[in-house]
Amino acid sequence: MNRTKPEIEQVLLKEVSRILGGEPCGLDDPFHSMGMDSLGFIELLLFVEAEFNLKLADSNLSAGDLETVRVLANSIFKKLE
Amino acid sequence: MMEHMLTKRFCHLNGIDWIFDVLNEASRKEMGCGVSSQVILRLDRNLQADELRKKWEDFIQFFPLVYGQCVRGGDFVPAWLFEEQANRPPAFESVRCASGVEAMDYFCKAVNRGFLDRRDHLCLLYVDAGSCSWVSLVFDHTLLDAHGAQMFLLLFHEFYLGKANVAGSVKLADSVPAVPWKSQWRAGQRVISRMRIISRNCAGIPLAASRNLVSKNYCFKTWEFDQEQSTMIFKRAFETAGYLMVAPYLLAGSLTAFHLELGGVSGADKDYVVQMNIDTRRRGRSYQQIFFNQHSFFFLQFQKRAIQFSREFVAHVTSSMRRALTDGFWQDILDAALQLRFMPRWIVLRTVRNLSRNTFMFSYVNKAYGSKDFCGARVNGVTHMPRLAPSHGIGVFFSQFEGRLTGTIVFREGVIQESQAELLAARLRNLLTCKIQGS
Repeated sequence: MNRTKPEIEQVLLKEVSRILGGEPCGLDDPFHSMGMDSLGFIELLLFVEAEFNLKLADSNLSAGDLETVRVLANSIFKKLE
Repeated sequence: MMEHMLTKRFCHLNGIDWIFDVLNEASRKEMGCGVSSQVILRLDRNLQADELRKKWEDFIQFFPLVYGQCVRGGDFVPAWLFEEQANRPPAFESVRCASGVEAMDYFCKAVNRGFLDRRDHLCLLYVDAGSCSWVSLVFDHTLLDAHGAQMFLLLFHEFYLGKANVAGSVKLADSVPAVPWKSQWRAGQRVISRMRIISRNCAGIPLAASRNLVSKNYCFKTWEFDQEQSTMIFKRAFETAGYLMVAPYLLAGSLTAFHLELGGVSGADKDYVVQMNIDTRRRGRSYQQIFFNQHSFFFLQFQKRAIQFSREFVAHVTSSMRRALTDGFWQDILDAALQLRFMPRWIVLRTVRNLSRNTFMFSYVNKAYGSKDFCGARVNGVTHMPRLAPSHGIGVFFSQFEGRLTGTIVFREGVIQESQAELLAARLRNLLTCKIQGS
C-alpha cells in the first residue's frame, strides 16, 4: 500500500505521542529534546518496521535521518519508493 | 477528581507493588530500612526553607495516600489503605552544609536511614549551601518509582508556582488488571524457567567480604560529567550505537569498566546478568500515573569473554535490548506478579530471592523531571540515588538533565571496598570519555 508523506507523518506523530505518554509532538521536534530514551526509540523503530514492513536495524540510516518525525517520515517514504 | 482523590480510602495494588512491599518489609526487618531511593535536584541558588516547608505541607494535603500501608482486602488482593494524616505533618528536613561533599554525605545518610513509621513513605530534604542548594525527595518503592518521584517533584514545583490543579492532575491506576488466571500461571512458569536458566551461570562478586555482609548501609559513588563531556558522550553514543542509543553505550561502558576492575573475582566462563527497568506508563498524560510502580524488568546476559568497549560489543548490547523489548518476557513478569498477589509474604520473598541472580542493575533516565526550574531556582543537575543493588553485585544508574549526564554507582557496604568503587568510577568515566575501539 503506497502512503503519502503526510500520511506517514500522521501515523508517526500518533505513535510518538503514545510512547511519550500522550505528550504532544511536533513534526520538527527532535526526539531527544522531548525526553525520548533508548528503549522508547527502539519501540518506535519496531513499530515502524511492523507498520511499514521495513527493516531499519541493518540499514545505513544516520542520526540525521531519524531525529524528527518529518525526517523519519521522509526516510521511510524514500525506502518505500 | 479532587473529591475522588481526597475521599478514596484504598486502592488495589498491582503485582510489582506487592513484590516491592514484601521486599520492603523484609528489608525493614533485616536491615532496619526499607527499599528506599532519592532523587536530588541541584539548584543554582538557595530557597526560603520556611516557605518551602509550608508549601510542601499544603501540597501533601491533596494526597492522603502518602500516609498509607499495604493490607489484604476482603478479596485477598493486596490494597493500599489510606491512613488519617491528622496531626502528622509531612516529613521535611532543612539543613545547612558547607560544601557539595558534605551535602552528598548527608544525602547518603538520609537514604540509608529510611522511614521509622510504616506509614511514612516520603521526605523532602532541603540543603542550603549559601550560594546554591539541593532538594531531595526520599521515597520508598512501595509508594513511588523513580520516574514517579520526579513527576511528583515536578507537580510540587507547579503547585508552588500556583500553576497546577494538583488533585485534578493525578489519577490512580486501574484497580485490578484483567488477566485470566491461566495466563498468569503460564506466565509464571515461563518466568521461573527462564530465570533458572539465566541465574545458572550468573557471575556475582564472591569477595570474602560479601559472604558475610555486616553493614546495613548502601554506599554511593556519584559524579557529574560537565557539559562538554556529556555532549561528547552523547555524540559518540549516537555514532556508535545509533541515534538515541545512549543506554546501550553507557551499559557497554559500565560492563567493561566492571570487567576490567573486578572481572577477575569470579569464573571466566560465567555471564554477567543485567537487570533493567522498563517503564510501563503508556497512555494519557504522565501525571495520571505518578503513584506506585509503573514498570517491569528485563534481563540481559553477556558472556564475560565478549566484554570490551568496542563498536561490536555496543552493537551486541543494542541488539540484546531490542530482543528484550520484543520477546515478551517483561510482560510475563507483570502477569506472573499478579498471581503472587494471592500468596503469603514468605512465599513471595522466597520466590523472588531464589530467582533473582544478577550482577548488575542498570538504568538510564532521560529528562524525567520536565522543567528547567524548581520553585524559582534553576536546576543544574538531577541525581538518582537508589538504595537498590543486587546482593552480590552493583547498581549503575545514569540520568540526563538538560544535556548533562550524572552517574551513580551503588553497592552494599562490604560487597566491594571503597577504593575499588573509586577505581571503578574512574575507569568508567575514563572509558566513556575516550575514543571507543573500532572508531
